[in-house]
Amino acid sequence: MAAVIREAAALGPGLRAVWLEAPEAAQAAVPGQFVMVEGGPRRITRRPFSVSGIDREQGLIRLLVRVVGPASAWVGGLSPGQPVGLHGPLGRGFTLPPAGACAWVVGGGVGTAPLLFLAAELRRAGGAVWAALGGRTADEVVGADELKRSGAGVAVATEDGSAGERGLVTTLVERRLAGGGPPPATVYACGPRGMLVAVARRALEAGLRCQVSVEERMACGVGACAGCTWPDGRLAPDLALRRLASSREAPGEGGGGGPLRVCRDGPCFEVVRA
Amino acid sequence: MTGRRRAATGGVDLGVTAAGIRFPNPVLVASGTFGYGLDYTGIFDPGRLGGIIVKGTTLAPRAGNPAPRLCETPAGLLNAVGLENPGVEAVIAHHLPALAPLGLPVLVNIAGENEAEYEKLAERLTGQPGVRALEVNLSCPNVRKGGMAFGTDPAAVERLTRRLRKRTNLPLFVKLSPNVTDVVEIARAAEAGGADGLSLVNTLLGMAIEVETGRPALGNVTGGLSGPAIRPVAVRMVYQVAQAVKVPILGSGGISTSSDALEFLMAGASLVAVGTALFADPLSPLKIIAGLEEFCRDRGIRRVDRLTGVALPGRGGVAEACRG
Repeated sequence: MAAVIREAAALGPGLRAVWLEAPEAAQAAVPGQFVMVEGGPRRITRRPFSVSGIDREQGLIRLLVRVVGPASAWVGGLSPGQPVGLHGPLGRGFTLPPAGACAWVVGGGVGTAPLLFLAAELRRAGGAVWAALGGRTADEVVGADELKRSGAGVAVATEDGSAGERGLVTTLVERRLAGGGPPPATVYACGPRGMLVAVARRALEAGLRCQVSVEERMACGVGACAGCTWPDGRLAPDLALRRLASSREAPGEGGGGGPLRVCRDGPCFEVVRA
Repeated sequence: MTGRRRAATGGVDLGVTAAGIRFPNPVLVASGTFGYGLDYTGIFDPGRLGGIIVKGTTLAPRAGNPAPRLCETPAGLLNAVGLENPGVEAVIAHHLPALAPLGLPVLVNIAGENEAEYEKLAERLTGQPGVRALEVNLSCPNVRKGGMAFGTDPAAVERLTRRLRKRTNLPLFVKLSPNVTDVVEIARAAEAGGADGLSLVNTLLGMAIEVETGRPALGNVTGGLSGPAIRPVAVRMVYQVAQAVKVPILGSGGISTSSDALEFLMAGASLVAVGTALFADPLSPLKIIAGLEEFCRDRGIRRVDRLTGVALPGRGGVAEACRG
């Protein structure tokens, strides 16, 4: 229930990549799962971080930490050799398309973290990946170089135009959809809720499957405290979340909706019309 | 596995008998922080606990309050879950049978919107496998009906306890709210109504505002504060109530370490419940059990129950427990 920091490095202003020695988590984790990490000696709850990459041989997992408060500052500031309390991997990850299928990943800010792990697994299985990455500024765009190195196609949009084109990541998705190329088996998205809603609507309108990883404040991470429940199970009034199949439990039934614990029923869900 | 729990560990007897129930050790997990008992199984064996108090259960399923339901505050956690639960029938059909093989005392926390609902819950849970007691939730601050509205009126507490007493032979632990002027008055009312034990304290009513948006931090606006921030309040209440009642006390409120648990025992609690500390470290209940055992062993205290109330007026402190 603890891990040791192997390596920590700045990826940009206020963004750290932290590699942890956590052999069991590295073996077990699937893309979209998260770990709960101690937030420092005075913090009351651990904090959820998506697994953004793994090195199974060395037993390492990577977290991308955007410093937004004392807990993330503490985790981001850890030095190699330091131990940190951690449990996981937790939750339901994304379901992967058939090997070799084409997928799109759409990431907003540090929401790209789980998509980097996902894209790496998809590429390993021989799939084509196209990534649309966004942020308010160039500093907020995460993972573009890593995705390009993996052979994925990458498009970038920023609200201030400091990287890629000026605008929203949704615009990139719309243009790609209109482009008439081969459709992806699934559109995967993680980022701010407004972005998830916009991307999911576009994907469903185009008849594509869409899976999202959502974020909520959590205390236990294991389904015990009901702190992260979305009582109506909706991403938006017109969009319901449906549990994805996992090895642990049967998939959700019906059209989605109803109380969903983000930690245990998610954090990755299929989006369906409500 | 769990059948091999030993009441005596390294010469120290950690077992506690309270309200006619034998607990293998005095460290339980608090309602609402441990689901229906099995969510932490991937992290530790819940069979090592002293007992499990399962989530607040209502007659009908409840979806609970809108998100966000949590907000961390200095040394504390505000929550406004709003008694989300699958309803008593699902608990009986699915959750209790899964928990029974642990062989641990299970206390079911019950919450009604009116007296009749509490009565139905008590009747329905009586005789269910593994259920050893009911924790009567008269103190939830996050629901509009029932909950704290009952727990702040001594006459209502006594009347409801008396009615429940007639409906079940299960021991009743009445869970008290700290959101009262005089907790002793409420405790006496519960005892007079026939409570077999008292559970204190539930969360303190609180609130936080996000200054960037100028909006309340919780979807429910107000919430219940737990964690180390409330511990001195809870210890004081246990200390006051222990002097006023004869029934055993299950103490809770910000217990994070064995030293914290010892404070509650010495203030008069026979049992303790760990809650919010699970969120900083899921292994904290096991560390607390080990710490209690070590404390006793180091001082030659043979039974942990000798520590109950040693800090009360007229008692002899730790030295008294060492003599026993």
